[in-house]
Amino acid sequence: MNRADESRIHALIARLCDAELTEAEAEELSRLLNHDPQAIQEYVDLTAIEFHLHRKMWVPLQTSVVSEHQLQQILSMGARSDSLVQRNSFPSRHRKSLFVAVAASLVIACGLLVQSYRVDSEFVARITDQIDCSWGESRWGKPRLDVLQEGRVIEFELGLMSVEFGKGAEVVLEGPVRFEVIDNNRGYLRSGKLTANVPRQATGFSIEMPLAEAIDLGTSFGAYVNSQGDCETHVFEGKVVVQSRRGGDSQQWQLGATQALRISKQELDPQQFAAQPAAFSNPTNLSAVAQNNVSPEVSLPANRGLTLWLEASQRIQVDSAGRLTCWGDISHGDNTVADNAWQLDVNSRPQWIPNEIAGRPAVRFNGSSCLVTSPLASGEDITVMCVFHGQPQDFPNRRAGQLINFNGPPSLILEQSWDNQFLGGVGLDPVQNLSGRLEVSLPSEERPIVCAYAYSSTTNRSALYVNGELVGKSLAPVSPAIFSTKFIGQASGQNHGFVGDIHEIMLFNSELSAEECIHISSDLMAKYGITQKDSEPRVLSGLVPEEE
Amino acid sequence: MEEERQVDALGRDKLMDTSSTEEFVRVYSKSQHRIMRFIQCLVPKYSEAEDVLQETSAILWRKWPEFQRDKDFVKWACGIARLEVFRMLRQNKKSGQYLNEDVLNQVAEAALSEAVETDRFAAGEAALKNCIQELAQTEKRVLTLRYQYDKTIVEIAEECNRPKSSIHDLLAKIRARLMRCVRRRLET
Repeated sequence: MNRADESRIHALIARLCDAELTEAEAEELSRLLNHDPQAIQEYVDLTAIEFHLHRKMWVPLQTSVVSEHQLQQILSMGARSDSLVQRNSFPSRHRKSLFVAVAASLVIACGLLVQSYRVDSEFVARITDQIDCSWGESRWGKPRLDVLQEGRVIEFELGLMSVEFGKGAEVVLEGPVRFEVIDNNRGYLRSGKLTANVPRQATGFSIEMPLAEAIDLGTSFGAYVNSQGDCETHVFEGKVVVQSRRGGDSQQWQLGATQALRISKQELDPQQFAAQPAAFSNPTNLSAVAQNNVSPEVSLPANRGLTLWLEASQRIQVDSAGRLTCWGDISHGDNTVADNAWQLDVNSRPQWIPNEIAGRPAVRFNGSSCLVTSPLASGEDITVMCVFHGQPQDFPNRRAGQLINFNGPPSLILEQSWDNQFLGGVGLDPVQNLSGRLEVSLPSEERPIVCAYAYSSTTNRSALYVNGELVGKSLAPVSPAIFSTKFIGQASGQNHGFVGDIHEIMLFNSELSAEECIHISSDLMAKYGITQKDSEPRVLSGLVPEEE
Repeated sequence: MEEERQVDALGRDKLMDTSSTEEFVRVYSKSQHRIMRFIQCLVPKYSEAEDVLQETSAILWRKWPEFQRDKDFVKWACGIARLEVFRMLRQNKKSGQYLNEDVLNQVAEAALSEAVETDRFAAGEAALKNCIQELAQTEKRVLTLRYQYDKTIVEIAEECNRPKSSIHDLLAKIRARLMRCVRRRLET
């Protein structure tokens, strides 16, 4: 049974319950139900609702099903069984008197109903963003079919999905997760993890879980349901009311910021503990890490197409084990969209090192960890600047470790090899026959390296700078332009894991001039306490084009 | 022993003692909601389901002497109700507005499984009570109009000066939402 059939079945059953089903519709419904156990269960469950609604809401109807006392009376009078066939005549009369009695309230109720229609949201919920999410046809961004109707179940194994509800609440689902949209201000977390950010107009937004319900009072909170159905609510800001749904228990707790509550099947009493924001991925709340050394700043040229800037002291999000979940893009000026780099697979997350060099943090890769940016456009002309400190002796299988890979083809790559060579170029095929290939032997000192690689297919030239020195030039005949996710620390699906620290990466959609590359390199060297040494690297390969 | 004459479905006279009558009353009154639910699953319009229930109850009473006490009464009663539904549909020639017989038989199998599960029936009812509380005020009002005051869709639409289709859609949406809510609560 697909969703279209399900919707149609619901509509037809509604008409059947309201005695409005036509003969043609009856045939259609029969056809949809025929030999489809799932559809038949849908039918049984929906008609059960109709049944219970009649029983629960129409008080006089309770007596239309004969009570034990009435039955006993009938039978004790010696009545034959046929007496039972007598119709209960009171319903219609009763209804008429009820109509008169409630006429005024009906008018008010209907007035409110009409008014309510006018203020209802246009949508129940919709997907606003996906981050490396194994759902639907695309892993990133807003999907083409973004609208989620009531009852829509979302289930995926990996990644993040932002869902905006009609009343304004935003939920970030983190895979693996199973979640259902209930209405425009309510959802059901069957299993997995989510973060809810609730603006004032959506106060009252609630997340149901198997054993509890979290009702927001204007705040930000996380919810987690494990495979046993145990439920946790973590409050990050504001207040949340948690109501138990365990058995007949309806106990309530009000949690404030930094508090968390666990309700489990095994433990009799709910457990209260400190909220763990690091356990939840929240792309809208990337924290800025306090910098020990805020100067000197790096001075960047304006209007040079800075599209990605990752700096290990800013806008990072780590999990409870100090591993990096998200490295936030701090580019500004030319770039209005943050192209954050993510790692949602726990086992592939690099470690965040708070104080690695010159009081500055670093992101440490171990050869199997990497980050992936959201898809971003890189043009005909590219400049990549990077501050890194590799440990090539630890590279897996004595191969190269890639700092960045554009995940093409064409794939612009920067990599360090196991024998301490540094290489840049643009590959058009999987075996990476590189265009604009430049290779240099790096110094072996225990200090980071600042490199700048400028590649311009429009001028057919590329240049590589190490610690502010030009170390090689080459041609650049191949366009590197591509709209793609960029891999940091490892190539996509290849054994090219980088081992070492990356402090900072900048990506410009332009060819920076030699002066600009040298100037930025100098600033970065000062920032990370890197001094110029006599034994700077020498060019190993690269065809130096004629001076223009 | 106090006795009364009873005519069974085949027209045979049977002697029914008071204790047997009391037993029937006790068993039937405990089960009638579930039998009614089974019938309503096949004949969703509540008033028609009530008619079938009353016919069925008469037959159950007549056949009570034949009922083997070690068997499941609800299952037995639903079997009779099922036949009564088909008889009613054929007699009234209303089958055009209902599912065809083949599909009704499939539905009856599923409904029978539900009817004999006493706990689930009660739990579903309790869950619905909570789920109704979760509805918006507007939605509760519509349910009140429809089920408590037994308004038809047309009546609600006229009184609210709204298109019939919008009331219809809203009710369908509420039912579906309640169904999902009940399912969730029964899962736990």
